[in-house]
Amino acid sequence: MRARRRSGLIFAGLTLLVAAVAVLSVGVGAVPIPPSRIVNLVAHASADPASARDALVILNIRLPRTLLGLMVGAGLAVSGALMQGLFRNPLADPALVGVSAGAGLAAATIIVLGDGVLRSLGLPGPLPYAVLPAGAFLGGLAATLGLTLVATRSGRTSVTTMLLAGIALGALTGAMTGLLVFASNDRQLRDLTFWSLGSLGGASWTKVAATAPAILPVLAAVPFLGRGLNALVLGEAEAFHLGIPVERLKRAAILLVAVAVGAGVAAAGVIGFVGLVVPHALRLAIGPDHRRLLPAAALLGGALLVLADVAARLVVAPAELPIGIVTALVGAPVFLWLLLSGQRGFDG
Amino acid sequence: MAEPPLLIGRDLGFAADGKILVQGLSLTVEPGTLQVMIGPNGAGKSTLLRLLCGELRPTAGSVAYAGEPVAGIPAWRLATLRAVLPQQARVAFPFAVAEVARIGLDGIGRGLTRRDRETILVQALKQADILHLAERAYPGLSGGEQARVQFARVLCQLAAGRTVAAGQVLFLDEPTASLDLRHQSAILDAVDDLRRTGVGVVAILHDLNLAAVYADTLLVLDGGRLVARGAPDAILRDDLIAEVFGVRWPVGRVPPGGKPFILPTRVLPQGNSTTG
Repeated sequence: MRARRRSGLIFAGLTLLVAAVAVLSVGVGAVPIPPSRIVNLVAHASADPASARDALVILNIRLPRTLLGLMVGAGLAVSGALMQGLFRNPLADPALVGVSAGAGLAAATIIVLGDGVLRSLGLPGPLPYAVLPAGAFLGGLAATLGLTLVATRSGRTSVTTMLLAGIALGALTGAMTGLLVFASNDRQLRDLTFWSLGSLGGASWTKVAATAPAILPVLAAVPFLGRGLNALVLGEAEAFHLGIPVERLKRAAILLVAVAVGAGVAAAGVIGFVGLVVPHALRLAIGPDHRRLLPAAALLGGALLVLADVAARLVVAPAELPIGIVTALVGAPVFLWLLLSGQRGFDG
Repeated sequence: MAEPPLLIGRDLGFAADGKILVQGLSLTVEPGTLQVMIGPNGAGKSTLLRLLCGELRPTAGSVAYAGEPVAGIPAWRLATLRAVLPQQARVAFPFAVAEVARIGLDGIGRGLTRRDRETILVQALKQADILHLAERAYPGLSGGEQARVQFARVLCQLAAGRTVAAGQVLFLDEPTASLDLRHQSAILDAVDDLRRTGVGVVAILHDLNLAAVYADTLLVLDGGRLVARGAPDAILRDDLIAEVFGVRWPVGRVPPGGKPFILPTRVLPQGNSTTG
């Protein structure tokens, strides 16, 4: 029962962390706005022009950016926890289901070839902005579906086959993306690089509105998967013996990950390490029970990504670092540290 | 009034990759019986067990629980009708022992009060002699301790299922394989107690002496077929042992005329086991 009280405390702490990080993220940037003024400003925008400008910054730029970061981070971390549970491997990553590879290739194709295709069709350019995220989302889904088909034989999806096929697919899409990079001009190369390193910079209410319908349902579905994933930890046959419809659970988890990560990549590019590190760290703090792990991953993933975004905005202000650089710079050493210090996170 | 059988497997056959693993096997599980499958490696024992518990679909024949074809029973309801103790189960994450055992309660025990669940859990941990390990991380335990945790998990499942379903079948795949002598007899005594409460038990054992003591029916499998079936004293004979296992180990009796026992002597030169 001590563990129960402890995890209650941790959940309360995580919720506070999300709130604090959100306030920080709204207040920090080219125009600093102290936390005390934020609530005041949003609640009743005053006639004072400085306040009006602050309110505008908050409402149109920082609030959507923060919300987008919370959603994308939550989606990535939850997807990581789902994948690790599904593959019964603490090193599994959302990228394993091929969604990042598919989304990345689709994005590269659209960036490099999009305008050319338009021109050859005799249509006026440039490509509408929404084509890129939509294409990335669909590319990610298509890659995951393809991998699932490859790994499914007579109604059973083999996660091992999926993992190995995922590696092959990753190499293939990597090579094709490389070809596109080779064929790209300078502007396209810059877009590609920015995309592959991730950024919340383009956040807008439109993006929030496009991302929410994909990620929020995934987060809502997560509480229903905890019990099944716990049983799956014993093995697929054992989970079936315990009454879990294993094949349905696997397909549901894969689909949810594809949707959440696909939407995340579409909105903010490819962001690594959040899906890997967050579930790991949480397992050390609250134990491996997926019924606690999945919701906690949503909170911590959201908070950390927004925090990384704050850092990305501050470090080289007024310019911005791609957020993927921040998550990898911080995530990789943290992961290594968890690996070496927290043997409890592994099966040893 | 005769009770209906808990489980009927009829003319079961299973082939994978063109290889026949089980052929023409029929089996009935009555309440309160303990049947033990014996046979050499690759005889089809585990495959038969997986067919009976609904994990594999037979390529021939049918399996029915209380008259209902197993293919039509949803997984959650099947879990109230039968439990399976695997040979060994790795757990990928550092779940505590009590948490692993509790997984047996999580699904079908949802209708129970928290107090009832806790009682069942503690009872199961005690019966499997792992109460003192309850807070330890499962992956750090020895093979034998892990097997006992799995047994506790199965006991939880049966206890929770009993509150929902009438007749239950328990499958055990080599339950004693990694246990010391004390825990071998403890687990089989616990299984025997379950049998007394009306659970139908089907177990795979390699130790013929344990099989002879605990089974009321022995099923002897070889090459995917049933080659003998009956009470241990009736069928455990020198010629059957030689024919099925390829060893000439004489069957003795303790006391004379009582339970059969088998001690090793030497391996037959023409048997499928080699002495290097």
